[in-house]
Amino acid sequence: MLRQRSAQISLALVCFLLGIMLVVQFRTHTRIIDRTLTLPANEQRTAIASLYDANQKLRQEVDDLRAQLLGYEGSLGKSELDSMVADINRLRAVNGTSEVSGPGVEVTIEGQLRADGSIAPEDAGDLVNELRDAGAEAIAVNGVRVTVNTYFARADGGLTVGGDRVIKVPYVFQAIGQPEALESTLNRPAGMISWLKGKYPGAGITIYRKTALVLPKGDHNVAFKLAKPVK
Amino acid sequence: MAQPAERLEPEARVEPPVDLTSYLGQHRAAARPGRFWGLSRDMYVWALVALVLGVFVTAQLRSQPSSPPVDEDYAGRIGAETIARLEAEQSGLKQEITDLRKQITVQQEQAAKTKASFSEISDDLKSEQLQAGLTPLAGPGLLVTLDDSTIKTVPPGEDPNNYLVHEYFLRDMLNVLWSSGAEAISLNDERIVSTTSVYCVGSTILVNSTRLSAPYVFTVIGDAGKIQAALNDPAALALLKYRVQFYGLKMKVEPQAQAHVPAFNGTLKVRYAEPGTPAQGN
Repeated sequence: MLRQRSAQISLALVCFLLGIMLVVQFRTHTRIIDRTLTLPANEQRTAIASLYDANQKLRQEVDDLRAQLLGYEGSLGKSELDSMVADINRLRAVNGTSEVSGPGVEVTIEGQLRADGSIAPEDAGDLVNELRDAGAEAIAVNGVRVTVNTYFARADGGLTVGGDRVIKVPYVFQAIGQPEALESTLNRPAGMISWLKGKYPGAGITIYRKTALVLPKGDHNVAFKLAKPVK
Repeated sequence: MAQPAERLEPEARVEPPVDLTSYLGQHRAAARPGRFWGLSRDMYVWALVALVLGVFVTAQLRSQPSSPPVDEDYAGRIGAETIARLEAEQSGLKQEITDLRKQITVQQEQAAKTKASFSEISDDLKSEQLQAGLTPLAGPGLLVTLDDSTIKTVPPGEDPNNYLVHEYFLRDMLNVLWSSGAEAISLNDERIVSTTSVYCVGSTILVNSTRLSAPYVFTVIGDAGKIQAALNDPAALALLKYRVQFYGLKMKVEPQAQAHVPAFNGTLKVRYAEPGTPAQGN
């Protein structure tokens, strides 16, 4: 009976300890889980503060980058470039620095001319002058583009354009511009056609309107070696 | 039974569970009444009580000292949520920064390209403007002046036209000047450009649609020696020189250390000429 009693007590003790251990174990376990979710209060506060500061800086960075991006979108419009390109194309047509096409007239001089088979340089120059006066935007003589500094001179073969290109009959002057205006200016009573017909009676001189002429680019642009731009 | 009083008490208090245990153990009692693994029913009761007591004591012990555990957990959970929210915000901001930087890089590359093409186009435009005579220029060269004759009375039988500077003299002069390498020419401050014509309406000479009158002054930038040599060539300007010699027309050539040629101030409209070859042939 006494033996049984002590056994009971020791078992109760063991169970008591077991119970304690169980609870300790359970609570420790939940503590560990909680620690992974939450930090101690002071550490949490530090973490929140530093995150808040970092985010503040990042937000500032986002604002700065947005402003920078906006700055790029406002600079150098395409329309500005387009109008510059249009200007360049217009000037290239005028300067003879590009091939051009358009409507105009074609004047052909052939047949009996001077003894060497050519027309006088000043007659070629005067015809170009008349075409310019009639509003020609681009001129070519026998496939040579006439630019501001183009001149006509005598040469062994007869007539040169720009000094190094000897041109021979038939002389073909092509001019891009309003065809009717060009034609009527040249055909007027005291105009170049009548002058040339009077000077070269044996010549066949014709003027035709053309819907689409193609003139090559010039090969004698002015080289500015001495001239300097002035402000 | 001579037992201490303190021992009697638990015995008495345990009384009701005895019934419960006996009840619980009833079906087992059929096999071995009152015993299980060689232990009495009381033993199990005690063990159970001790276990429950142990659990309660420990739970009490551990929960007692940290008195506001609920509040701390709540604050901790709020804190954890805040941290999670801030961290999510941070990763969002970082992503946004990455995206913005990418966009800026794209814009910078485009801007660089635009800038490059802008400066290229700008250079092209300047060069074409220079070629077109839209830029005032200065440089060494000369002045060539042509003027009507100073003879007041035309002798009988002479054509009064022989005493005047005609527009074809001006054209011939331009032809010689260009042929001797002139870089830029103006005539009475009218810049000679590719569309310039020199023509006569009645007794008036028009250049760039501007009426000019004698004296006619050519301002030329170029090699003065070369130009003078060309002007002195007997084959050049023969009629003009004849009129100078016999009718009193005036021609004067003056080299200049620094000649100033103004910019063309008219319009260079292009309505018919288009760059390049058209789709339809002629």
